[in-house]
Amino acid sequence: MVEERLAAELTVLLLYIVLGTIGAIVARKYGVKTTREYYIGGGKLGTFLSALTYAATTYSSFMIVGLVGIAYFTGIGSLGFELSYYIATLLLLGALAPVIYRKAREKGWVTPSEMLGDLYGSPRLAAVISVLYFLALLPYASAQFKGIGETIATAGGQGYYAWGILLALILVLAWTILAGIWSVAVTDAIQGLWMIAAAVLLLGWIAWHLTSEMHMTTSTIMSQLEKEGLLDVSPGKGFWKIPVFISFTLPWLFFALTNPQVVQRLYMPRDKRSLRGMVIWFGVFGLIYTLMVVAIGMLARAGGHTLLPYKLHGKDSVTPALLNVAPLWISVIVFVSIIAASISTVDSIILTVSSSIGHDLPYDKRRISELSVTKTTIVLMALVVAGIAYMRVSYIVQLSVLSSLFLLPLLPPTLAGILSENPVRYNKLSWASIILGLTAAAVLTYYVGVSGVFKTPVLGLTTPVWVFIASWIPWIAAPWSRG
Amino acid sequence: MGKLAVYTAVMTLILLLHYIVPYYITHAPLDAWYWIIDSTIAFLVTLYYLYRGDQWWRKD
Repeated sequence: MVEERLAAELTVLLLYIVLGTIGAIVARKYGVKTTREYYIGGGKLGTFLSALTYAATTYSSFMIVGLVGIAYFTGIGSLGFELSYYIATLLLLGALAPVIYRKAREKGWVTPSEMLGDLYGSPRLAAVISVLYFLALLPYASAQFKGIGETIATAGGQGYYAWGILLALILVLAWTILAGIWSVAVTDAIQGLWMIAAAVLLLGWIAWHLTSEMHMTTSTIMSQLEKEGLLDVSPGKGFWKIPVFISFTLPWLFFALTNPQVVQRLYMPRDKRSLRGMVIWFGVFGLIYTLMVVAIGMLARAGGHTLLPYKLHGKDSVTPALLNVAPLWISVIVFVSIIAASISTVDSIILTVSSSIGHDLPYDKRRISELSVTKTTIVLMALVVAGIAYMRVSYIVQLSVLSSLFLLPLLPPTLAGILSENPVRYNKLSWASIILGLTAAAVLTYYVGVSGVFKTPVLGLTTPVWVFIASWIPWIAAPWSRG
Repeated sequence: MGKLAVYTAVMTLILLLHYIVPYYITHAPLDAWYWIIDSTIAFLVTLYYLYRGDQWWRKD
């Protein structure tokens, strides 16, 4: 049985690798020659690729592993948490995507750090932000690699952890370097479809198992969950108390504007029609995927020990436990979807961060080609990320959730820069905003500890709320200081 | 600008109510339904705006 499972896992994993590599090789036909083509596909992506690369980049393995577990342990508040991100992203994309797209076309932006530097007339700001991207996203990228290692180790045994990291390293390097964003976008599309298909299969099987094998009905499932207090978020009850809900959701509300790997995707569509298609299909993907993932966690909980006869250690153990009881082929397809979700997120992050470093750090571009600096950064960043993941430090996953917190201070400069007619005059405010926000994030994280960031209040407010306030203070105080 | 302002206001209201209604108004099992419905409405409002909003159909 164990050998049969391993053979099936290896077969499907091989199928995934072959499919992705064919996709990445086919993407080379687009003939990448310039940095603009390498970073943003020359702004020629159609609706299909734009939408799926946006969705696959946004939704990492956090969904099928982390969110399933959070739904299982904490209940329906997890749905509200993920959907608050969804509504906020729709709002930001609907209102601001065409503005960013138009300005990016006019000014020829290829990286989000270049966008901010150009808006505020400060190449130094662009350089500092590119370094911030690198530092903030390093733990997040490492956590994705670690996730792949853990997934492979769960399937094949602990000795396979390092092989998982090596596999991730090879795939990320191959699929990124082959044709830049073209190979990343094509493999993202394949992986995005794989993620949806895997979630449909897993949800379908759990629903079938609960109703046919365990003879549960919709009402018994609901009453079971209600009895455990998992369908209620009334004030003071359960995990999702309102301050926790706010501090968990706040950094993610502005993800679409603060995280460079998604901002850069707004420069890529071929025309406004493709941009619109990108938003629509992201909306369809995001809603369906979120509902399915939360439903998987909630139904697994309703199934209780009859469905999962294991002692579960933490939220990340729920999906692996489900894979142990699911039919073999569904289990291996979901197993590979976890890897796909991680790879599609991490290769986009590495390409975006490396393009920012290559494009916006100051060096003599007449002597050293920008593309070679970017490709070298891709290799170096992938090696560093793999190295951190290989050390298997437990706190890397905790650190990774801080990525969005440390990028949150970019919100005011981004919003003001995009919406203002003459943002150059706010240059000092943008610096003050970033410095104050980052200082608040660093000091408070040190004070409450990484695990206390979203839960432990300081003077009544949690860290994300303080960072949010700190980064807006200069913009609110400036008009008053002038009288 | 008019439609953008209306779109932004409606979506902000949906987002604000997303935090308030399930906590203070509805109770289980309606909380889950509320969140599913408000997200669907947010998607439909966005879909409408993507085809009717000035900045989306204006040629740049």
